[in-house]
Amino acid sequence: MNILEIKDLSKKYPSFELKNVNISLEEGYIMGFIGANGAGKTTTLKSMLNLVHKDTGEVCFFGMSMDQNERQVKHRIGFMFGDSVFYSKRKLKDITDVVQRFYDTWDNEMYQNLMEKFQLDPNKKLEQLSQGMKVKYSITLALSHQAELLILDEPTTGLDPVARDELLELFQELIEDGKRSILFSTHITSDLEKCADYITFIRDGEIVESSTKDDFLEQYRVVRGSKEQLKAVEHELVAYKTNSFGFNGLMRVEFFEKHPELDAAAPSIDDIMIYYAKAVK
Amino acid sequence: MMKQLMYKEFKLSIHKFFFIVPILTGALLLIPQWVFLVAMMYFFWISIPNIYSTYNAQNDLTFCMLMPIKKEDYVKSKIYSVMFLEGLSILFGVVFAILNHLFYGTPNFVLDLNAAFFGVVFIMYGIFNLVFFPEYFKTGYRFGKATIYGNVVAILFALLVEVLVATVPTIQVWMESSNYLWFQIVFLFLGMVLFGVANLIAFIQSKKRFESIDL
Repeated sequence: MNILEIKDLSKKYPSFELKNVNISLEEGYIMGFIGANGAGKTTTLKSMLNLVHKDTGEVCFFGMSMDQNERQVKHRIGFMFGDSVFYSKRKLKDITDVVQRFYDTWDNEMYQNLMEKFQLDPNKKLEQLSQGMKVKYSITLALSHQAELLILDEPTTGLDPVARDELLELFQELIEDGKRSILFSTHITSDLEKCADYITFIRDGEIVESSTKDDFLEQYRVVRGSKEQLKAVEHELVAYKTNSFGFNGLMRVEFFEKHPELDAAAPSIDDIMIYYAKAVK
Repeated sequence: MMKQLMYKEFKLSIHKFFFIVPILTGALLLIPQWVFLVAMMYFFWISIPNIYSTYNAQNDLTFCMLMPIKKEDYVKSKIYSVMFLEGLSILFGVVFAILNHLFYGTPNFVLDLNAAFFGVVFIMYGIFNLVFFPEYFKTGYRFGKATIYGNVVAILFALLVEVLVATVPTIQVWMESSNYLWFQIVFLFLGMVLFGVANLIAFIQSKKRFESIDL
């Protein structure tokens, strides 16, 4: 079953537009939502959660429309917005005391176990936690109310490599039983290489690609050739950089098949993002 | 969900000091011969701007929107918590008004501390809420303009009442004479009803405005 289904979501601002966003995510998988800063990741997440009014489109969670079932849907989701810290001067136990009352499904035993596992001290204030610990506390709250989908906006931003790796391992652990899914936005592509099953790539408010990680990477080739060869293939490249020997560029695989003379290599997610950033629309 | 939201307001959001303010402002009713409506105005001079700036500082809106609630629940919880604090101010006002009568036993040179006085206070708070909330919920975070507008309208209303009582003998008799106690009690209930109606309209307007904005 699709745990999340977004169809033709659009939102127009005076200076930015989200155009026909389509995303779907099945139970038991991790989806990485990538794009450069300002590409529309947070706006998409906020539109999904009714924090921002969508102009058109439909968002369904667990087969239910978000518009008609907002309270029920929110019961089954856990969120975290990267830069938002609330009630930072309050102790974790006080915040938990308030949060737990909102959920009939709250499992106190699980909460205690997770607090212990993540070494979170309930008597500490939220502002005393490191960025990584704050993410863990958000995850603790979400799992304790038995959220089936975690939506995390840039959870790894600002974390050191060790904390990031630890968090990504935790993500994988969380979906092991196949009952939960995670959708997280990031601009750190190495996060996705480590743990994402699906990748959705957004650029200037438009979804470029939404597929499994392997399919995503197989769609493209990084090609290299001479300046003469560039003239022949220029219009088929997503973008390219020239150097004294010729050019390096990104090409969709269907075009590459017509040009076996070009040197090619498999791209990294970084390559795809960087070349798309250079591409003229 | 409202029970949980109110628990959040009182446990997490509104500092305990603002539950003591009604006692302090109530005690001002012991000042001999004074414009007592001023004492009841301290609520929206002190408590409102402080509570609402704290909401912003603590990122209360984002916190609430992540809970399983709708925008209208959020609006309702804010109106209920202000109504509660206003009720508390009136409650302590009544206690200190009784003490005032016990200590001094003389009429006030402007509006007396009687049932009609608290009817006026209910209307004044209702007017403040009616102006404050719909203006505040145009953004959900800008409280400055909303507080000033609410204050101006509520103060003008209070001024009008005081001037009418001081200058129109019939109104003074009806509002203050012990022969018209029944009218003063009716006026108190009228004030309560108007307070309820004003808050209902404030909720409908605020909900409509808050629903239409992007967060």
